[in-house]
Amino acid sequence: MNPNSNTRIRRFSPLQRLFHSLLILSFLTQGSTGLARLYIETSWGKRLAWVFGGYQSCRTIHIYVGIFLICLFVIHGLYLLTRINWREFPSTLFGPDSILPRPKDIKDFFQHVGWFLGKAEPPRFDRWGYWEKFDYWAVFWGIPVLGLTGLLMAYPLAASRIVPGWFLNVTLWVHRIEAILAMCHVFIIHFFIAHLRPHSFPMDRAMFEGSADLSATRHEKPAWVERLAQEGKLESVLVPEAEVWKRALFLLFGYCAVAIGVFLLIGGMVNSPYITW
Amino acid sequence: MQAALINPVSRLLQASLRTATVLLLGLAALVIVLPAPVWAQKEVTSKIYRQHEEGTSLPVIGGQILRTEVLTLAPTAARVRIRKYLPDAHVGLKFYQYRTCVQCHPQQARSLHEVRAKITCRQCHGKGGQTGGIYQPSNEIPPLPLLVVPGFEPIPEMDQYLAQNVIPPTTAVYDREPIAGINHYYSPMNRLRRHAYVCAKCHPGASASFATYVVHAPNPAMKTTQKRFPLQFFVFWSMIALAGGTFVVFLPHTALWGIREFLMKMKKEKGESEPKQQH
Repeated sequence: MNPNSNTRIRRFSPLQRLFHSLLILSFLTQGSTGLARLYIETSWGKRLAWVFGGYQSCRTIHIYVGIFLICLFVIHGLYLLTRINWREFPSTLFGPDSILPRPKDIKDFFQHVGWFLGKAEPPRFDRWGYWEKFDYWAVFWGIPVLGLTGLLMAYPLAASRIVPGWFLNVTLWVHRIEAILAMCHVFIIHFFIAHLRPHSFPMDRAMFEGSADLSATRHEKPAWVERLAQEGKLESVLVPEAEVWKRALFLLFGYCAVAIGVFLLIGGMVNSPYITW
Repeated sequence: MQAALINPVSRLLQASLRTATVLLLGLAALVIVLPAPVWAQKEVTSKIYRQHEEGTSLPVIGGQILRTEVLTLAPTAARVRIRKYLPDAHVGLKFYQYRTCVQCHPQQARSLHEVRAKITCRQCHGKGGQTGGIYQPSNEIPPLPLLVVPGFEPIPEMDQYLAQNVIPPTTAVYDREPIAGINHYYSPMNRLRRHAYVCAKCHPGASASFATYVVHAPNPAMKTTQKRFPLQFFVFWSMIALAGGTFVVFLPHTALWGIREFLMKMKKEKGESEPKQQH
């Protein structure tokens, strides 16, 4: 096959890929520094904190990267405003290209589970699968929750002018559980779906390369490909595969993230009985 | 026959007596020579301080006299309540010097201040090392130095954090005795001035609102927390329900998805390999 032939379908813009890459870096930094402080009573936590310069440095890094993440979230919000088709607003928000949840997603979920059990045909997904929407909105909900509670705890003197001091006890638990939920979801469910399930193995490069394999997409998201073909837009979104060195780089970057995630997950689980919760 | 029986019995008695004497003498020697079990922690109240506190305590409180409430449903709880108003909250407690704080206050062992920053009980609850007594209005507001517990070596990774607060161990721990009840009128822990005299040592600019942070927060998962700190209890369980619900749905979902795709792949490979075998 000619390597320059257009065998892939474009899914993400360069800016969306940049958002995702920055999210990966900042999320892993936040996870590592946060767990280092939480597990500082254990040798695992101390070694993890050492990587970032110690207990206090972990806090400093955690705060500044957290502020960066909040800024990234705000910029992403502004970016979303530019992506809305305001001429057809609000109907465009509920179309098949929108990442907003639709009633069809619930139907797709149950039909998909039925397919897992051999009881139903696989659902005909459009551009976004329900699991992709869940991942996106989980981050969309998680960053404000973690950011707000994190800011309150990072600047407790200022925060106690707005809320009573005992509210910080509550925010600590919201921050902790939300962070643990986010990490476990990403390190177990997201990594499995994006890397380890047979359809994606060794890695779904779409978020890095910006495009997905056309034949695989035709199989997994047939409604989207058919819609593009009917609208005569399919040819315009077909792109060639990235160069080998780029693919190798994506694979290396992706698996580094997976390795760090698995390290944090296993270390956190093994050491969880030895810390004061 | 009788004499033959008496001799072994008397010999046994004499041997037992000798053994008991040696054991008692040895025990007495150990008591004299060895320090008391918890003296290393110096949880003692000197008589000088005790007399000083009696002289400066308010007559309303009644010095070191433990008064009882007229009507109370729980006599023990009433005594604890009254102790919270005394200039020496531990007055009259038997074997006080042999006990650690946490032995009698197990719930107060839960504190991130202690776990993360190695702050000891007396660094907040003891009186100021340089005040020469419980705070009195005529005194200037003194700096209240934090202590290093003798023999305690900070963990290297925590040095950066501790170095800001730790001073050389010039003040002995027992200088922090007696520990005033948290509601005693002149106690640094009194909520009127806790933010300025205790919290502000490490959090300069702490406000009264800031001082309402629950340092010894109860375990949020416990049923008793529902009464003590209801918001924390309900928020904790709401977040656990959210996290648990997510995993209850998505873990089996993801596992089933993986299994299904794996089986399909196996079937496909088998289907592809079978025609080859026929050739």
